[in-house]
Formats: sequence, C-alpha cells, structure tokens
Amino acid sequence: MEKEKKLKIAKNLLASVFIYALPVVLMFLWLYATGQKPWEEAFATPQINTSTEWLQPIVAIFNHLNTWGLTALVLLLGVAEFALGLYDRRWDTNEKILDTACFIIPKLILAPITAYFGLKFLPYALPELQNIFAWVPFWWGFAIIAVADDLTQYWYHRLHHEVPFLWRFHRTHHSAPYMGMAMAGRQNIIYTFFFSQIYVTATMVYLGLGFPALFVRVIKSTITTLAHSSIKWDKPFYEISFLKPIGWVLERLISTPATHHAHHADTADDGIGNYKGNFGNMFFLWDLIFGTGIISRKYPKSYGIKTYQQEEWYAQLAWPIFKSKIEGNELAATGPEVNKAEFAL
Amino acid sequence: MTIQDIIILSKKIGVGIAVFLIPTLIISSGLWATQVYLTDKHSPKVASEAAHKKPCEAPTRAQSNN
Repeated sequence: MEKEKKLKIAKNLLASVFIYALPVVLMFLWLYATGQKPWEEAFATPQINTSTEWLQPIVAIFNHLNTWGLTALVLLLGVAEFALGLYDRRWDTNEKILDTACFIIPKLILAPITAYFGLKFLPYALPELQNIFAWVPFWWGFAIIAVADDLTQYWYHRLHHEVPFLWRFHRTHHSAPYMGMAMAGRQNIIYTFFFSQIYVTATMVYLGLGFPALFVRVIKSTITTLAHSSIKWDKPFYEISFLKPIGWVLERLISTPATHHAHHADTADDGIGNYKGNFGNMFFLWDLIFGTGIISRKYPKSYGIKTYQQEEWYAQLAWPIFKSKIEGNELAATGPEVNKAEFAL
Repeated sequence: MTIQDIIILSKKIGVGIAVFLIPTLIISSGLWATQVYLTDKHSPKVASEAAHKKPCEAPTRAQSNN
C-alpha cells in the first residue's frame, strides 16, 4: 500500500476514534463540573406522554415505531411520489419485485435476527452487564447513540464503495435509474443483515441506552427516507431568501435530497453528481469532516449505474447466493469483481 | 455458492465485525471509565461542602479514599 494511502487511513481512524469518544468525554466533563453521579440515584425509564391533542399523532409514531410508525411514513411518501408521477415509466416489473422484496424481507428476517442478538446472544456473551449504563442522562445518551450509529454507518457505507470486494454487496442500492423513498431500503440482503451500526446500537440498548436509541432511530429513519425521496423538499431552503441561512446549516448537518441524490447520480462529470462521496446517512457532517462531501444545491439529471443491465431481481437481492445469468455482468458467476467506471476509487 | 463466494462473504463479515467493535469498545470503555473515575473521586460540590465543615468533621484524605 502506498505511504500516502496508509497515512490517510491512519488519520481517518484517529479522527473517528476522537469523534466516537467526544460525546462521552463531554458528558464526563459535565458530570465532573456539576458533581453529579447519576448511577447513585434511582432512575426509571422515561415515557413519552402528552395531553396536547395535536401532538398525539407524533407521539403515536414515536411510541409505536417498531410496529407501524416508520412503515406508515414510508407508505405515505410512496403514495405521494406515485401521485406526483415521480417514477415515470422506469419502474418496470423487475424493479418492482426487487423494491418490494427489499421493503418486506428485512422486516421479516432482520427483526428476528436483531432480537436474537439483543435478547439471547448478548445476555449469553455479556451476562450481568444488562442496563449497566442505564444511568446515562437522556440527552447525553441521545448524542452518544446518534454519533455511534451514524458514523458507523458512514464507514460501513464508504468501505463498500472503496474496497473492491465489498462493492457487489452494495451495488443494488445504486442500480435503480430513479430516486424514491423505496431506495432507502433497496439493498442486497447480506449488506442489510451485516449492517454494523444495527449491532452497535443493539449492544448500547442492551447496556441501558434503549430510550435514547428509540429517538435516534425515529429521527435517523425519517431523515434517511426523506433524503432518498424524489420529493425535493429542500429546494425552498435554497431559493427563498429568509430560509437560506437555515438551508446553509441544514445541508451541512444532515443529508438532504440535493446532497444524497448526488451520491446516486450516474456520473460525476457534471459537477453535481458525486457517487464517489456524499456517503452520510443521517448526518452530512461526516462527509465534510472526512473530505468526501460536495454541496451543489442542484439535482442530478440521471441516476443509477452506467453499466446497469437490469440484472435479475433475485441476483440483486441475494448475490452471491443467487447469481445473474447475464454474461460478463458483475453479479454473474464469471463476472468481474468491479467495473472501474462505477467505482469510487 | 462457490468456495470463492464463501471467502468473500467471510471477509465481508470480518470487516463488519471490525466496524462494529471499534465504536462499541470506545463508548463502553469511556462510559465505564467515567463511572469508575467519578465514583472514586469527590465531586466539586462535595468538596465545597467539606470545606464549610469544622476541621474535626472534614474527612481525612485516607477516609475520603475509602
């Protein structure tokens, strides 16, 4: 490996360690300065309750997140996208089956796997550590989980773009020639099952940070779904004068349709597309810190992969268990590991 | 699935485990160290209370370390 590349990896690793530790260090300083020892106090898991009528639907989404909250949001956005005709005629049968399978299968299989990890594996591997950190104050727990979950996903995602043997596990997410809410979940199932951040957060929940993790999950899933949506909700923030300062902060802090659509562009030659960067999911901040972000406030003209051959839905869903029959294709048995034209490095 | 596929899959799972372990260990050890360090140490609030006590009531260094 080149010396320059090694130095870059070392720098990124050190910066990541610093960022992961930052909320914990800040919490330590705050507890030290105020003299608080929350682990010596009796604490109870807080509940979200409100008597304000108009807040009830929002509270219901938070409280019923794991049953119908996020599914309701995705379906609502999906209906809006169809009503606005944003899929055009590019959503053919192969894409429909793939997007639907990617929407349903993780819900049926991933949920039991993470439940098994949290309820069986962790109590077996780390007995007596359950809720050991339940004393962490809510907002500090929120900051710790938000950083841990999203920075882990940033690196998991970025590695699948930059390490050649990992690319084919993530290719499905980029193959669609359109953008929409369904894209957020359009993944190869093996990529989804080994999402590192799911297991980081599950471990933190086991150690006692369950309540903050619930809030992070709602906010993150909402931002990620809205960033993939073909409804360009961020446009007013770039065009209306009094909203521009908010837009400036927003596009640097979180993923927006403009920055995330750029990641799904099929070219980087127009100064808008940036499939070699803009990896952030909830926070765009990581791309600014690690130098992979481009903000253009414009939306790509076309999406997907230039070399896409409409590979069979089952090959995209479960490569390498099922392979494409298209000769020479990356997902075929004899295909290349990676097509240099579509790869980040 | 070929042997080559299983090797790629194993390497992928290895990367996933490394990406999982780094943040989990940093955060868990940070939270554990916070609790241990601050439990053993007098907080500023406790120290100021001790300063207002009569000399005979203030804990000695040996007592405070217990």
